[in-house]
Amino acid sequence: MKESELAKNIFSKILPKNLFDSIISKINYSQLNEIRLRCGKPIVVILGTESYFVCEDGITNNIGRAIFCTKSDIDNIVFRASECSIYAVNEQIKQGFLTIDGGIRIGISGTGVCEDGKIKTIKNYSSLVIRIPHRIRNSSLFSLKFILENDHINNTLIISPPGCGKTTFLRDFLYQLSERNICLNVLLVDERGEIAGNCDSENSLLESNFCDVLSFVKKSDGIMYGVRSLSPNVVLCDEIGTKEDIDAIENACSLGVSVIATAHSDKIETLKKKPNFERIFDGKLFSRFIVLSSKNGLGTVDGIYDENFFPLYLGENR
Amino acid sequence: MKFILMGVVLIGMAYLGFGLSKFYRKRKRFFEDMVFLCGKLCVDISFSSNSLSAIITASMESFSKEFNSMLKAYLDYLNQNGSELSTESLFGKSTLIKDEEKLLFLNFFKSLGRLDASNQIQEIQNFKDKFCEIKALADEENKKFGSLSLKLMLLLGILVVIILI
Repeated sequence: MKESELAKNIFSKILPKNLFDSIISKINYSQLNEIRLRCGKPIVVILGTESYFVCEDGITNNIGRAIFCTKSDIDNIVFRASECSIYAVNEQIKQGFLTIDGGIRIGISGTGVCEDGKIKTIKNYSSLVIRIPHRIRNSSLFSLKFILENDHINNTLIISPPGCGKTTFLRDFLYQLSERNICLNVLLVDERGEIAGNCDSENSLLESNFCDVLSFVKKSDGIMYGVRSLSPNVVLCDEIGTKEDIDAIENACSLGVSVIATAHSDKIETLKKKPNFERIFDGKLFSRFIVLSSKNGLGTVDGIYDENFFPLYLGENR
Repeated sequence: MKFILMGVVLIGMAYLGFGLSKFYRKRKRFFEDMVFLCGKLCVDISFSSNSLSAIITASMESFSKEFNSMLKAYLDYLNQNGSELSTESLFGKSTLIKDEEKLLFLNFFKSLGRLDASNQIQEIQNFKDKFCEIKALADEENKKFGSLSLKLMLLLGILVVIILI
């Protein structure tokens, strides 16, 4: 199914009619990256890297023409996005997001309900960030030769600030492997379900013939469980950061499984200062570091480094 | 001609009596189905966390025609973004359920799917208690008036026949 048709299908199920008409019918979907809804505030869309207000005719920079979001809009979107069953997705809501068909992730803010110091759920939703994934064909193509050497996958960490194409990179990397018929068994640990989307439905974003997916499980658990039961050659996961994640990656590496992961940061130096990451750098768990930015569009490769942080490639703008 | 008329009166009265007794039976069954559905929802929400439409669709086979027609209306609401839930959309012009009971059903369906699992189960349990009370009343009504209405209407028919003679 075409991306825009898929989006129409999905958004018709969750967005109020007036918003659906303005956003999906009148905006170029391939450019649409985010929809931001805040209670009582104008609705904002991010096209490419630019922000605009949503109006009846599509987009505008004039706040006077903007459509404002109501509390009931937000409540209804969450209710419909959960297939009218909040209880079924509460584990996701507790973590502040909800992933729906097509890998579309809805970030949720509101009032946390805590019990024994733990978040039980979120109520009184006040704003939503709807992030729309896109397939950007060949976004990982340039980096492929640095990751895949002599039929061996180098342990690779992809680094970028949020919204610069890490997840898109992983998705395309899977496609590139499959396209080249490289029969490496890949285990994708998709904690938030946004890399593969709903892989048991026709709306899956996954384009790989050699990939097993563990969705909505903690990365650390997923890696441990998957390495034992699915015997992968490569493990892919998004946004590592906790001690448990690093433990699981270390364990996978010690068993001879290659790991490709992503992490939030603007550059390697910043990442080095983050807690838990010293072990990654000191232990040389990764032999390739790919730094992405959105300078020349989503997924611009700023630099590729080896395990000693020696640059193998530096972006054109340097 | 007179005998034909007497036959028609007798059959008509018996039919009316049968209809009334069926009404009470249907009411009783309707609330039995509701109590069963509440139990099923509690179990499925706590163990499988399936969506409401999946749980309801899977259990529809075991319910009465009237109850299924209400559930179909609710499923339409679940599957159609932008649709509103009302007593009219749930029950149409059905007279099987009293107006205040219809409101209770409406509130029940409106409360579904809006809470986390433990609160949702608690909420269903509260509604289930209310439905159990109405079910007990419907059961009593059925025992009291169900068979009685058939007998009464037959007697009334016989009385009319005697008067006609």
